[in-house]
Amino acid sequence: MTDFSRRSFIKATAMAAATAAAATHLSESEAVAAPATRPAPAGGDGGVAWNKAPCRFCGTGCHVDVAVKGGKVVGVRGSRNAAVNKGLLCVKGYHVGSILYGRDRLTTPLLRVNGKLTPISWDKAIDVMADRVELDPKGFAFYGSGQWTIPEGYAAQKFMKGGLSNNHIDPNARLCMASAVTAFLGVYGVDEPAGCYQDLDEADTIILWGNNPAEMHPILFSRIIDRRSRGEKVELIDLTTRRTRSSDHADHVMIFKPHGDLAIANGIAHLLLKEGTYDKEFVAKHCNFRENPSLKKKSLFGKPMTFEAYKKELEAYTPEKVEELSGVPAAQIRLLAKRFADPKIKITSLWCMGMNQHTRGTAINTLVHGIHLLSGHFGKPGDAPTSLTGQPSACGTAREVGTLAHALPGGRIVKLKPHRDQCEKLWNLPSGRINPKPGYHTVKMWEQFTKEKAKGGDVHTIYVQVTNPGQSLPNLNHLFNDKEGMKDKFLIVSEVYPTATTRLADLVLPAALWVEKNGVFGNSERRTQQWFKMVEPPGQARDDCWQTIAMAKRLYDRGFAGMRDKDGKFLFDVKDDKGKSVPVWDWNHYYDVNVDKWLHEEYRGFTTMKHKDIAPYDEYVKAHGLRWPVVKQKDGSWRETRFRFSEFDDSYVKKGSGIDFYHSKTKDGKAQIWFQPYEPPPEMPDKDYPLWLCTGRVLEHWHTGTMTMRVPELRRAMPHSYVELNPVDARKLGVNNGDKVKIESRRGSVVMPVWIDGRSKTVAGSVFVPFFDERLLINNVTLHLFCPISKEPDYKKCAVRLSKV
Amino acid sequence: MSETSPESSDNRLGQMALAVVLGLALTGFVVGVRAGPGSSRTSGAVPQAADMPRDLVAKVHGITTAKRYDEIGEQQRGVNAAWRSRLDLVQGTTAKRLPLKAKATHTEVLDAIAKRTENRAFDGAPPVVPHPVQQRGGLACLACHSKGVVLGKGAERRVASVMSHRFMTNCTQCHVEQVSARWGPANWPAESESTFVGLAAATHGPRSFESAPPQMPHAAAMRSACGSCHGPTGPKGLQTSHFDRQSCTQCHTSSAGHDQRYEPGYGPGFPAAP
Repeated sequence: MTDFSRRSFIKATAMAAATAAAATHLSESEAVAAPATRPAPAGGDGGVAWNKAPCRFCGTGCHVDVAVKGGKVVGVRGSRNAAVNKGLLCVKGYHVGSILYGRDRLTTPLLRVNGKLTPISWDKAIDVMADRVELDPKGFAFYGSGQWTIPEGYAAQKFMKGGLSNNHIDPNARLCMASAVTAFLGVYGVDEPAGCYQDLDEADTIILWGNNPAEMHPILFSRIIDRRSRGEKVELIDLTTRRTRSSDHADHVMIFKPHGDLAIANGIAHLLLKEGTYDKEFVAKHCNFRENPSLKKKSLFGKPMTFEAYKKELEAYTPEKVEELSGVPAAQIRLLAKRFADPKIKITSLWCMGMNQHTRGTAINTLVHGIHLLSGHFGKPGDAPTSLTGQPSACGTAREVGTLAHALPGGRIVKLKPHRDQCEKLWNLPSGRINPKPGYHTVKMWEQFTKEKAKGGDVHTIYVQVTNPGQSLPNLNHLFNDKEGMKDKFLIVSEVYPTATTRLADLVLPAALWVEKNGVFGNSERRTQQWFKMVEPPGQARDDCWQTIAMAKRLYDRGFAGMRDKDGKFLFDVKDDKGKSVPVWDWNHYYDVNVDKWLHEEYRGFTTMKHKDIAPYDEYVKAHGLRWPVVKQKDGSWRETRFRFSEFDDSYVKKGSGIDFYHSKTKDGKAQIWFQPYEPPPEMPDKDYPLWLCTGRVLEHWHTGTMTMRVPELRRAMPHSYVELNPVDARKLGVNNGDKVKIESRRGSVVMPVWIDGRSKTVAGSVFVPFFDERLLINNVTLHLFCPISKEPDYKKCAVRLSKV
Repeated sequence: MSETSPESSDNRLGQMALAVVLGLALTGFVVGVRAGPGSSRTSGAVPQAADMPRDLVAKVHGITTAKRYDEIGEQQRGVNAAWRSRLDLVQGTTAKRLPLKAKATHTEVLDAIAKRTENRAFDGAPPVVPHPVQQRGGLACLACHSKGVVLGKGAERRVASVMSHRFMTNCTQCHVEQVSARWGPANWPAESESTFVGLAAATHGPRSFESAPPQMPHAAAMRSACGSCHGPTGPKGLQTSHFDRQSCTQCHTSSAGHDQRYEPGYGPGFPAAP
């Protein structure tokens, strides 16, 4: 061995050791053989069983390992082999185990008798529910959320649309990402992002559109900014209405006026066209142009327009004009356009509620897709317009199972006969069982519920599962609070804790939570994730899915025709491996068989209808989730898809086409670039209500805080809500930190403590309030006006006034 | 044939010594990998040379054996052979190595763990921050937590512990401050608080025999900077007795079970499958 080769050998050995160490730390390790049982680790956690589950909170879909000892969850750690989070969690994720153990867990069914919630048996509760359905099946509504597991949502969907011939089923997702859905449909003809989280590893420039992932999607944000500490360069551009923790890490912070995002996107397109820097080849090969029939008449698919007409419409959006509309300096608009004009860099756009909770939500979503398509920044790893979700299975349950008033599973819609036929066939229902008329979307459903029957309020009962509308609906005085004292209305709430919703409930059902039941979630990057029950729910708390099936069986037993398929069999005739029916409606037998697996296999039949193919249940048991379409390979294995519509990864793309939008509305494999004009918000600050109000979330609390506020570590970090105030406005009001102010809109008011330049910094003339605190309901103040296409309300902007209390 | 020049002979000896060292290291590595936690260890075949006095080995076999640890620092060779480290003169002590610190008592260990538990929901949870956080940007926390800052003395002593893991930019993603209430409203009702009882920390790592170095009783993931707890600024009960040793994992191994080197278990261990 020469001296040189010896040294190289030592060096190589050291490198290999270092690489191995790094690999165990970071690898996605897809092919590690699984041991039958994990060896009991030496040391303090002997006797602990670790099992995998997706986190219960947001749509990122991190995998956690859950430690169970003595029948209780005792710890949580990030799954190192999970591709989403690679061993890391956020502070909510680390403390997710604590959410099961609040002292006030609901443990018995409660019926309101003489105004007081009184314990009753499950048997009686199921009877009450069946009574309410039989009273008038058409006026019974089901309200769920993206916190439904896929099987739970699927069962609710089948019960309503297949069983009651009633389409009044909608999820909290309507308030959350409906605008993202309508834009994906309008642009690509099929829902959900084309890219995946790998885009965040490969993009050169990442643009946040009204999004604060440092707090709301921390794992994804760290995935971006930790690249810098590894020596990579990644440019972060923050388009925002206030300076947030995400802005702290941004290279460029561009603060825009509410609704200014519409102008900014148009300003970028204007410059790409004017300077000829758009991707001519990509546009010619893969894009058509589209617009709404008119400003007044907007529709999901609009009408075609020519490239010349598109160009002409954009002529007005000069950087100077955009500066006037959005408040963002023309130079920064030029900078954005320059990035999109550069074919050498890769650009990923991220957004969540900022663009979705928007009275022009569908419009701004389509515009951002549009500038990616126009510039050709699409379909390569790192080049992607990516919409994030806020709930753990908003994609999996609300969008894919289609638990929306107009939808059916597998991207089918109730309006189309062929779709209803497909669905009736798979459910073995008599022809015509599914009602062709879309049901009530969320806002409409609650309006009809809180309106007296005599005045046309034709929803008499709402059954709420896995969400908290008494706190999360906008304009609560209009949509929820009126229920109080109404004789002919009945609210059924399946919950884990007393909430703002159970406050007005007539029947409260104690629910099993997270790893107290089997489940499947679907995250923001099309990843379907399965877990098994690990601990028993407390008291008489039971699975939501069981509740639905038990209610269905009670109706079946009473002879309700809709609970029978066309052969007279019960809709949820769950069978074991030997094909024998299992009485799963009896709680004592619910876990005799894996109901999730049975529902999953039935649901699978729908998923191939729009190329959202999911694999057999057992494949998910083995994986940390798989991204659909999951396609069976010649060797019998199942392959997930990271980049949809791109030939190099998506097996459904026509060979040789490079990019193929195979669900194109125009049936030519092309996506639609939309023109959407700037329009001012419906309510703007004026003399009487001079300030903008924006609402949102904070890092420590998830959604309405019912789970996270019970976790001491999280509650102490963020003990109560507040109004974030700019020093200029604070001075005008003569208030300081901690002073109480009344926030008032045309709809309602709430008193909040002031936090000047709190967690984030608002701009003068606007205030921000987080909505997690059930003691300080900001949704008494918010607006229930919504996007005309998606019906998603705007929680991000309305006019308020503040006064010192 | 002329005799091999001393220089080239030296070189060859060096190569052979290196081969032996690498061979032993490789054997050790393989043995180490094979032996799982708790499995008994048997020593490999003993080379004949090991039974001889070391200078005799050199004569008979024409090779130099690797230095023992206790010889390093005393025997000098190479171009700096004449150079003498006189730490004793600098520090006014006669010690050749830093003195071993007295081992922590069991009570001290328990105290340290109890203290550690105060700001963690369970063993493995990210510690909460015991002071207000005014983080602007990613590097603010590093000012104190990169090397570990010690403030005050006695009862007033506060340590900003060294970050126990590789640098990650968004500290407050996992570590949050704790305040009872800023400005009201009324405190959260106690009946709505979680009664979660977390995984307890281990007090000691297992040893395969009495004087063997203990195995880590916790995951090494996110705890790769051992000095954060076991170094001189760590709590007394957790401090190592030998600060001057830098490569902890050379002797103290982590457990595969703790460190998720396998896919999380599925199959037996799950609730009974239907």
